[in-house]
Amino acid sequence: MQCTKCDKKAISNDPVLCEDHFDEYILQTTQETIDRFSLCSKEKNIVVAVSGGKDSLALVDVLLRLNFSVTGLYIDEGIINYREHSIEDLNNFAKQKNFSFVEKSFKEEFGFTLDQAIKTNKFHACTICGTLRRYLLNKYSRGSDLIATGHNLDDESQTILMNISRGNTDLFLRLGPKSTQEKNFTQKIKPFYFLTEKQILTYTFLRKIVVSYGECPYAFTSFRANLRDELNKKESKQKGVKKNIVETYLVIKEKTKQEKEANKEINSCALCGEPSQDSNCKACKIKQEILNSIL
Amino acid sequence: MNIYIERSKKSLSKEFSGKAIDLLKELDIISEDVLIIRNDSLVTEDEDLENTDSIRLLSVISGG
Repeated sequence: MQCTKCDKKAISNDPVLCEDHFDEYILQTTQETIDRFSLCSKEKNIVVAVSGGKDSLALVDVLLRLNFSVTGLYIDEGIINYREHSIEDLNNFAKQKNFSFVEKSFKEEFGFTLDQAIKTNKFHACTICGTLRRYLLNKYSRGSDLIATGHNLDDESQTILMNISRGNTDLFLRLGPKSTQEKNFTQKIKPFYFLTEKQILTYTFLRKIVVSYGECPYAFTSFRANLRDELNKKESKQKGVKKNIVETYLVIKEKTKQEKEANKEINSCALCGEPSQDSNCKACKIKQEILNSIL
Repeated sequence: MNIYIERSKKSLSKEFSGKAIDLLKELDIISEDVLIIRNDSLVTEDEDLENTDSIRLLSVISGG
């Protein structure tokens, strides 16, 4: 198969590109995502949530190549026979790229590892891990402008469907490539929003970024894992399914936001309770003025 | 053909020559889930594989 941009041999099916043009595609798609959603600028301090896996290491590599200023924050949840490999990969990568990162752990922060927490059977592993990880990422990124995560098109399309399936409408409308700015929360950005997991792994392979760890041992039974498998089956048969889910979501979110803003202006009149843009409706204001004049 | 499947950490030998996508079908593997590697190079789905090739199927899935 030939590259769609030159006469070299293609190394990727989606998109059909040679090595050089694939590399260009990754950088360009990331930059376009950053521009489209105003994710970050060169003068911002960006903390990348690094796990030592392909998505976060590729993200650091791409952001450095696009001349952004980045440091890392690594959270060790405490999963035996899993995290040992990722920290080794991260250390090697950091040395090669002259990239610095801070390391925090569940054990030192909360007094238990994820392995220990799961044995209590109180919550699903992903609930504990996701909640505590977000807590630490926010706590230790304070003072920085942004947290960048390696969430990709697969993650996002899965999350959208998960929230629809569970009826989590509030959470559903908060998804997207950039979190809202809220007090005491470092804003989160997702520069890989439109890149698939497969494209990111292809990038790490071509850039010779060593990532040896695979799937989290607790993820097999999750709802996300089931959705991921179904979505991958669909995507294999019909290219663009994941992107269509995400683009449709963005349209729904924007329309809902506009509607909310429009509705926001309509309050109730404090005097009569009828709809009003102000605290008192125009009819009441007129009535009051007339009555004052009459009396 | 020697095949290493990273996700299941399985090595196997199999008689096969044909398109890479057909190998995946025979192994019941979805193309979205793997990168196909031959001699440290990426292989696209339409490429012809020989029975003498050694193939690695890298798992796309990582993390949670």
